[in-house]
Amino acid sequence: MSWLASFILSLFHAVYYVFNAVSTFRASLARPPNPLAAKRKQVPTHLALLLNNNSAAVDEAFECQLLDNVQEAISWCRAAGVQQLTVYDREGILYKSSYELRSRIYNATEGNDTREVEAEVQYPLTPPPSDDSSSSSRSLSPEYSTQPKLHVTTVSVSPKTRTRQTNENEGVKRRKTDVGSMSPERPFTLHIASRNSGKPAVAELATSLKHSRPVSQNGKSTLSIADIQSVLEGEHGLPPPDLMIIHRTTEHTYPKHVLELYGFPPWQLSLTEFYYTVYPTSWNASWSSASQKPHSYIPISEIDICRALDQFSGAEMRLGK
Amino acid sequence: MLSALVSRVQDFVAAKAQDALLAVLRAGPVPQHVAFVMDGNRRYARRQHKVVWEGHADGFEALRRTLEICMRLGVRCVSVYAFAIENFKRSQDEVDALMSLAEDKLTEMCKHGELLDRHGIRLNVLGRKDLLPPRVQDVVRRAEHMTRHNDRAVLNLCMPFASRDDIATAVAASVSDALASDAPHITEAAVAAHIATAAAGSPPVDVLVRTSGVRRLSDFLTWQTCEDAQIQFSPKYWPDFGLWDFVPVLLDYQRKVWAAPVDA
Repeated sequence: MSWLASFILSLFHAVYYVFNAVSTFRASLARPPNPLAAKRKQVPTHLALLLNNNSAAVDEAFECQLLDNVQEAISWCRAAGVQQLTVYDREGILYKSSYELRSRIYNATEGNDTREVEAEVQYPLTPPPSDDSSSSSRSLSPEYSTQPKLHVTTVSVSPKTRTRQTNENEGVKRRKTDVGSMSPERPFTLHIASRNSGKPAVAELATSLKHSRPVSQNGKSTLSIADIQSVLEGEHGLPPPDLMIIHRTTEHTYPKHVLELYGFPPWQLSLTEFYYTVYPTSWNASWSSASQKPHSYIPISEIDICRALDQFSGAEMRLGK
Repeated sequence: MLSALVSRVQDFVAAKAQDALLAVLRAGPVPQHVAFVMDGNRRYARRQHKVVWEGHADGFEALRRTLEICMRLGVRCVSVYAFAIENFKRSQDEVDALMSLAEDKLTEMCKHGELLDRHGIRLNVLGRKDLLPPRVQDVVRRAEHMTRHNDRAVLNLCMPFASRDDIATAVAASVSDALASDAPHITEAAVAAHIATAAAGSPPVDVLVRTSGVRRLSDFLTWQTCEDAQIQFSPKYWPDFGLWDFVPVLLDYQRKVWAAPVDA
């Protein structure tokens, strides 16, 4: 009778496919979202964009389109009042292109604004060489601490004014903003992350804590959530995003998108709201367009950002209560 | 009398239909480890014009029902978010009611002939058990002890739990291990081994389901689900969640397994 059960299961899947295809078609007819600059009940301070790339599709042209799309996403976020954007791809294509992204941001803002703009990059620290000949790492003086490699690159963009006070030690230069809330001249921060910014960074943190933290008398490490938070979300780490958009950059082969997180840093996911298109219109496009090249780059659009902001605007946070 | 007969026939037909549906679904791949965020008990109670603790009691029945379905499908490990560390911020009345419910139901579930015994389910309570009232801690110890020899399936009852606490605990434990063995570096695998579900011997999470329409993990199993677990959001409140709501989740999982590239 197992052949009968398998046959009926195949029928279930066939019916499910048709149901999803119809749902995808209906989703493509949905009314447009509110525009970027529309007034919303709440706007995320920090938005993350998780780009799921098909590794078979990635070549130089694909990477170029990816960077163009990230640059567009930055301008949309700034127009919507988002102050921080994290861009993530598992393989680290964006992380390896940090320098080029920073150059593009600098050139784009310099061209559009008469004021000077600085784009400051914080690269992940290179830890000082450890003294492996030491018999016990606990003999290191309390002042010495090994900075863990968190594999996050941060680019801060803030316009300069004549009255600005510069502190060379500050990671982000601040200025008093006197423009309206939708002004692109407000400070903006871009974080660039990959899988290495997640679990491997936690392991790096654990290694650095082993060398630097005091231990209790029974040899156990004493550690609090605040200790970890201060590092993983600190100046060289990644703050937790309020909203994450998960976007697949190549065509969907099935008319339904099931959420996965592709190695995004788990510590930062605690309270993040997720947005993704359950019924992807890109599936429609690939099915209906015979000339569509396989593995073409499918950019995230302004409409996707607006839909995500609309969903976030309607979300309720109870924080356990 | 006639209406009672009709009702019995309806129940019989529904039970047989459920058996048939489960047999069909079992013909394909079944996830080894499914996690549930049982959200929406209070909103369900408000919609039904019930008091909050009745919503939680109905939520427990939904847990029992879902666990039965998972066992009959062949799911080997189920993890549920029963109580978050943050939930202690709720009113004292509600926290007390939840602790009483936990005490009653844990005792009931472990009895001979009941759900855990019938399906050979070992109970693990994961999280900061030290934050539970002493009498609940006693019940937890007894329940875990009574089911320790069950080996057909595992139920991880996460209460009170928070992933950040889980990760911090795992990091501290891995640092202690490294100090003891004088290992120069701590690897990702060394930290992962101390994550609560792994430390309890559970397989990786294949699917996480959150009910009530909220699209967040709320600090539940973030380490375990951030890689390749499928995360599903159901608009139903947890007490309303049933087999038909689970069917699309299973079909999506089966599709993923069948579409996965075959290792050479």
